Amino acid sequence: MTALVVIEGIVIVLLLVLVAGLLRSHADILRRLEALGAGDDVQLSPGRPNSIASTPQRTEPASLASVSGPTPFGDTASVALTDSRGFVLLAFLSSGCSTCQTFWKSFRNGMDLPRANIRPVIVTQGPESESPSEIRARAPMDITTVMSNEAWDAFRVPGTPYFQLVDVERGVVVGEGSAGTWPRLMDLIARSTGDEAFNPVKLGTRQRQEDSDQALRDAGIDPGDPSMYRRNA
Amino acid sequence: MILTGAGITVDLPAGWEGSIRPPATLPDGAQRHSVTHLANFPLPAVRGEYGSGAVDVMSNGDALIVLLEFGPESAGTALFGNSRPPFLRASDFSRDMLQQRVEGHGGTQRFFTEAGRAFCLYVVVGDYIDRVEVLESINHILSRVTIG
Repeated sequence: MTALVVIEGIVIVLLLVLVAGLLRSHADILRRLEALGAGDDVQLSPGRPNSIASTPQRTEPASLASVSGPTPFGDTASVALTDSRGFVLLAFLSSGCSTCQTFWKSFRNGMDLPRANIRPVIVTQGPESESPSEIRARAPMDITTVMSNEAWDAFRVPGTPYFQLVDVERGVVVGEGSAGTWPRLMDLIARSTGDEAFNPVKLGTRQRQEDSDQALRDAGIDPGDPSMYRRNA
Repeated sequence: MILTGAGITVDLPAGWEGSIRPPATLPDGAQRHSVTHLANFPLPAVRGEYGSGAVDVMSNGDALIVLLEFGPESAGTALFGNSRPPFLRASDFSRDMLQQRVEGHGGTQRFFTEAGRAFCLYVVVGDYIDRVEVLESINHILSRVTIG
């Protein structure tokens, strides 16, 4: 009887050790997955490095001078990534990834970006890898969507969703990474672009006129105000 | 970067972007012809054929080049009887030659036939007074357009 109790005790201790080992192993796996962004439901492409942590304040030359390719609506488009103005937010999305659906929907709903001079451009894989009709069903009409395997290769897209923020005037990538939600993307952009990284927003003619008119109205000067026609004697 | 579509090829230098919309038959049976937009500023995704939507965001130093194709029945007719202008001059531009009048802008319009296809070349500059500064760049782009 005593022998049975001792044996049972040893088995219980061994089981406890086994359970503790399994728990530790699971915790380690979860930590590694978290580091990979798996909490964001990121879909890694096979054969890519296991690191997609965001790298704000990066300033590497953009891999391409422009992103070009067919759009899901049948046009051919090219978007400049150097020697122009503002920022381009390259959003690498796919039709099949579940996390991407959040961003397709957010872009369709016209979610605001932190600054007016950040232009979102959606980049999917080319028609040889993605179905244009599937992309057409998701792509917003008011955001340029380009289907380009070349861009995916040049920017070494590790999985979707994946984002790169390009300072187009300087032609450099100022931030890149993955995000599982719109707020996390906004956080990535905010960390990638300190205020000092932003150049002043270059306004269009109409916006400048509206701003000038508003400034005059604020100063109490309406159209036809005599002060605008006063001449020095 | 080579932009190609609808038999039109443009070798775009850095800083320029564009799009080529191919011809298509619309649901009502009407024929839509190709539209090419080239610009040295960020082009909004939604634009009218003559660049409405894009001209609203133009600023000093900006240029928009539109190549609007017309039906084959127009090719070689009186309006489209000329060949493509090899280059544009400052005197070709006017504040009154705009599809959408925007204060400060200037534009020019030329009709021509090339490769049996009828086109309207419509160019807008964001700053009419200083248009000379961007004219060389516009002519450089026009020299890199091939119509097949």
